[in-house]
Amino acid sequence: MLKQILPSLLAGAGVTLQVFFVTLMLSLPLACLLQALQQFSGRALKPLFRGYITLMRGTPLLLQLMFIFFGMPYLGLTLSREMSIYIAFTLNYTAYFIEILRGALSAVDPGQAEAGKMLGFSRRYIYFRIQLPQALRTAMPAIGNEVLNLVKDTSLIYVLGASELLKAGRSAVNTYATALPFVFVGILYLAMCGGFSWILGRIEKRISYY
Amino acid sequence: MSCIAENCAKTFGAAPVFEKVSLRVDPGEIVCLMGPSGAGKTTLLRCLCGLELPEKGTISLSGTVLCQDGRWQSPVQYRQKIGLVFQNWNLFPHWTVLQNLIKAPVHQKRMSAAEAEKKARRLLEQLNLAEKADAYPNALSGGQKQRAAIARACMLAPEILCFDEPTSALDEQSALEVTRIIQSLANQDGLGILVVTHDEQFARRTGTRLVRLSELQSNS
Repeated sequence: MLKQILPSLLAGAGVTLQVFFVTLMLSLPLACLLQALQQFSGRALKPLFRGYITLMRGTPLLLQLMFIFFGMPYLGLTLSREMSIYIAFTLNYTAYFIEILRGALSAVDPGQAEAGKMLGFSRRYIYFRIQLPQALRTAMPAIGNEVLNLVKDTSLIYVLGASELLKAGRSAVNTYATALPFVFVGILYLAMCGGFSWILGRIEKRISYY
Repeated sequence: MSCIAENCAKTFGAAPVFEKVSLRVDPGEIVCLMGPSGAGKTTLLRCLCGLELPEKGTISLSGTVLCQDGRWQSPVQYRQKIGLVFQNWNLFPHWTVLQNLIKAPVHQKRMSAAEAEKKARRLLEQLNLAEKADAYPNALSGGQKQRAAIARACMLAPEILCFDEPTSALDEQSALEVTRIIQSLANQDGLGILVVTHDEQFARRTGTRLVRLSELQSNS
């Protein structure tokens, strides 16, 4: 039986990984940029950022997914399933990453920015080359948590009808009337998370050179 | 070529830190600013470096005005002429000593990377840090960090170099070394030096002029 269901499970895992990578590649850099914008804009944009973060953290990702895919068409904007998934996940994870970065940046000694100012570095240089690298090191464990959450959160996209890993497992359970596919699904999630934990550990070690 | 503060006043909230303070630092002199903790020495130093804005008075350096009566004038141009060695040095921990030295002049397009590295290695040689060029700051002792911070500030060839409590984290031997370096910067390179310190002994042996914050306030 494993032979029969494995291809569909692996295809599902492929979709899961695709959502995972696209979300991560978009949301982490976006969070770095938006946090810079928030820092440089002073008070002007603060309420906007607070509103966005409150909305993203205060409502379920499932609702956000459904709103964008099923709700937006009523507002005159129809998005493809993939587009809806990427937008919802990126918006949601960017909000969490911004908050993680904000915390980590406040842990960077303010003397670092002052030293940068005295040496004539631009504000942009101070943020991206002095504060952010130090903040990312502090933030790595928290970012790692979010990365593993993201692997598992991708299972939510089955509500939009996407055939990711969990959905593939469920249809196998229905087809073969056995709980075993769920066990395989669990093993695949574990394997993915295990792999990413290992990579995260390597990155953490790599950036702890000083 | 002199750094001049005239009638400066700074308040934090409702409490005045200092009022009507005037100070002048000329090339080649070593001014030691003394006074008890909490008297506002460091705040005055931060004002002179453009890290704090005094509400009143004027601060200028060889014609470049930093601020006037609570408004910034040319802070960027001003800061190019003044250097600061922080109390805790504020070296950038993720860069090697050499990178700490060369990034600023290259970023400001004052030197090519090769020129900057050449100058940095010469400075490190002079300060006995040549073998630490590729080390990260956390691997340095207090005295070595101090010298690295001095070298970093000197890369930009300031007219005035300020020190905030340079001996507070150093042992006797390193403090003597700092005296020697400061005197050589003033005598040989003609820098104006302003040192904020509460180390009386250090100030007496290092400074050409000792001033107390209370003496700088005019009562007119």
